[in-house]
Amino acid sequence: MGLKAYIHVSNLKTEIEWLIQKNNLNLCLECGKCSAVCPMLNFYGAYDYGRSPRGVVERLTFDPENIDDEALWYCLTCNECTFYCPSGINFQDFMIELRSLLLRNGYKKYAHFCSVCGAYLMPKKEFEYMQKDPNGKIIGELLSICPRCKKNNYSETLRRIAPVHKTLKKL
Amino acid sequence: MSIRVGVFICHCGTNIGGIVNVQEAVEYARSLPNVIFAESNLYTCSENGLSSIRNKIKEYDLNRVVVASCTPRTHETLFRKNCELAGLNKYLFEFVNIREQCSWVHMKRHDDATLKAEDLVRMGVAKASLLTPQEDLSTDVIRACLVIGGGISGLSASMALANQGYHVELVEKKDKLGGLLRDVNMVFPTNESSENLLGPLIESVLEHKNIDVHLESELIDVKGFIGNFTATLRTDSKNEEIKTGTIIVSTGAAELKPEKMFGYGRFDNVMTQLDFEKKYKSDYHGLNRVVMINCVGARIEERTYCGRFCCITGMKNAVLLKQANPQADINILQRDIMAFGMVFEDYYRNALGAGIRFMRYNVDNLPEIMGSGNNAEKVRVYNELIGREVEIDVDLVILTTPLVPGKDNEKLSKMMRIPVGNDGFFLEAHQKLRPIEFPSDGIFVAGCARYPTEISECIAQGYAAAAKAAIPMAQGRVITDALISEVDPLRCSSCGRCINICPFGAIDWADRKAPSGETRKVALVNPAECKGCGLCVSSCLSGAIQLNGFNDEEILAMVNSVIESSEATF
Repeated sequence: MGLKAYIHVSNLKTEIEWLIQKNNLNLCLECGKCSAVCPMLNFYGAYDYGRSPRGVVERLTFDPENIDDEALWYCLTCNECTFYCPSGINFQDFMIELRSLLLRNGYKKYAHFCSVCGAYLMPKKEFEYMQKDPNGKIIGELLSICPRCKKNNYSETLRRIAPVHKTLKKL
Repeated sequence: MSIRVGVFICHCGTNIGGIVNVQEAVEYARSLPNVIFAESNLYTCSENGLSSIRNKIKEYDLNRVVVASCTPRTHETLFRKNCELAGLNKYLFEFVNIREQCSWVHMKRHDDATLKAEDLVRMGVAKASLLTPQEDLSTDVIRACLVIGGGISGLSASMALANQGYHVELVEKKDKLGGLLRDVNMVFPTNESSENLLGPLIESVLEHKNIDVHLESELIDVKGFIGNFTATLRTDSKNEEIKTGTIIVSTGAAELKPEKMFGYGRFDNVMTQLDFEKKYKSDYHGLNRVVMINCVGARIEERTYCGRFCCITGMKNAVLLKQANPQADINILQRDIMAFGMVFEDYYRNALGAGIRFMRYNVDNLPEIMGSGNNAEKVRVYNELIGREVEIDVDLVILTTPLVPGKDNEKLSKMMRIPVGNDGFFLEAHQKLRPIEFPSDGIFVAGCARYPTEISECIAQGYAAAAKAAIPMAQGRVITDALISEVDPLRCSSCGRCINICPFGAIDWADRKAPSGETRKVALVNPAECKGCGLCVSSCLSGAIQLNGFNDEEILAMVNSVIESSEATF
């Protein structure tokens, strides 16, 4: 990712408009199915209309420059809205591409990165929510490392989370 | 001459026979006054039953027939015809319902049901003894049709009738044919010019040898009934009378001009969709920032209906504007989008894909138009979706308004006794089962006179009205049931209640000369229009109207027969 060859005018507003058109976002019929299946309510408790798929698109259409907005980093890219949309809008791809665009342009405030190599992992909000596993055990540490770095440190990681094997104990 | 009644009681399989003791009822019937013969049948309506009736009429010289079986709605016509075949006047037949009104509602009480059936038969015999022979009325139908209004519906209806060989008198108020469609530039969804649609059609109508076109003519009066209408036209201050057998009302509607709304009338660049089509035709040069506001004057408290096709008209114009100026910023402020069916849904999708923005506004928070002098410059609207106010710069504001009923609808309604609904458009006989026709026979409605409809539906309704109008004209005659009301002029007090209450407009005033030489007006029933509903009979305070086949004497005989000797113990 990061190919800019096809964009002649690297103007943020134009690039966002291009993303909107590419993913069919302007075909929205305002049916509301996306907002209905979005799991944000379960995850974040407070459901703000402005954070719903329709809300995000509409605001971007009107203020393409107003993108230093935390609401753009709430989406989990779970694909439910894209699955149910009757107009064929690809909101999942749009969000992923939009975030990539934001990162390239320096809007990093709401993103969470790998503590070893600095690669983008997930939105900060998602990271905060997932700090604890269902049993209350803090696994935040593992979420701070990107998959590649995790692989490179695999034995270290395993030792921390896996119980020691019976035979090894005897040694 | 003595009355000789024959009674035929039906088993109707087990429908009646399983609950009522039919044999006992037959025995009872034989004991009634005037009854010469009684028998039971398994199915009186079968060929066996019918031929038995005919044979017994001849054998026993019967002059009244009573059949006790199901509801008259099923077989009355059949039994009446059967009597006619045996040489008996068909109105000397009486139908008694011992199924829907007896066996089917008292299924668990066999003895009481039998007694009730006997009561009902007694009532039937009492009435039958008083029946008198009646003759059906037959009137000729003039093979011509009056089409009021030369818009797309009227033109379609005229062509459909004229091509079948009927004569058509087409009356148009303006000096040109075509109606509302003349002002429309392009039609959706094909985006072709309305001239392509209208031009050839108008030419065919003007040239057709079966169509007489009356331009700049107004309808002053209509008299008569199906088969024999007389219409008075006024052309160039001269009156003309034309006679036709049927009438089609295709007077269309008008576009609402939203005075004082959204700066209409104050700003030169605020106009309705039709204004826009008339002014700009196809030259959209310089129109780069356009806002359309939908549902103006529609779906509000004073006018609750939806215009049905104005959303699509707006979309069509928006698409044409966008095609002419691809960089243009076009916003449609809407409250809902009505784009029904596959064709219009696809059209809506195309409009969205072209980059036209549809913004929802709330009826409680209407958009504001701001400008200076007579030029509108900005539109401010509260965008429901993002929850804040938005300001849009504009070159042009187009207001999408619905069609409203024509000004002449009330006048025509009184002239021809055709009903007008709450919203001012004409109302058909039954909204679900009887479109196109009115309660009064021989008059039909097509197109926007009934409700705002788009072009293909107007054409279809024109054809439908032509098909319905062709029926009486093809048959050449209209036969009316003989069971209609009659006024006794000696008893009529000229109060006019019956005239007002008749839903079919079948009663009117008539002059009557008294022996003294004075003339007074009394009510007169037109047998061709009367449907025998009986409303006039109940409304008459002087007892001057009687309904043939259901007159006071006959009904009271039935009542007396049941009060005096009822044996049922309900």
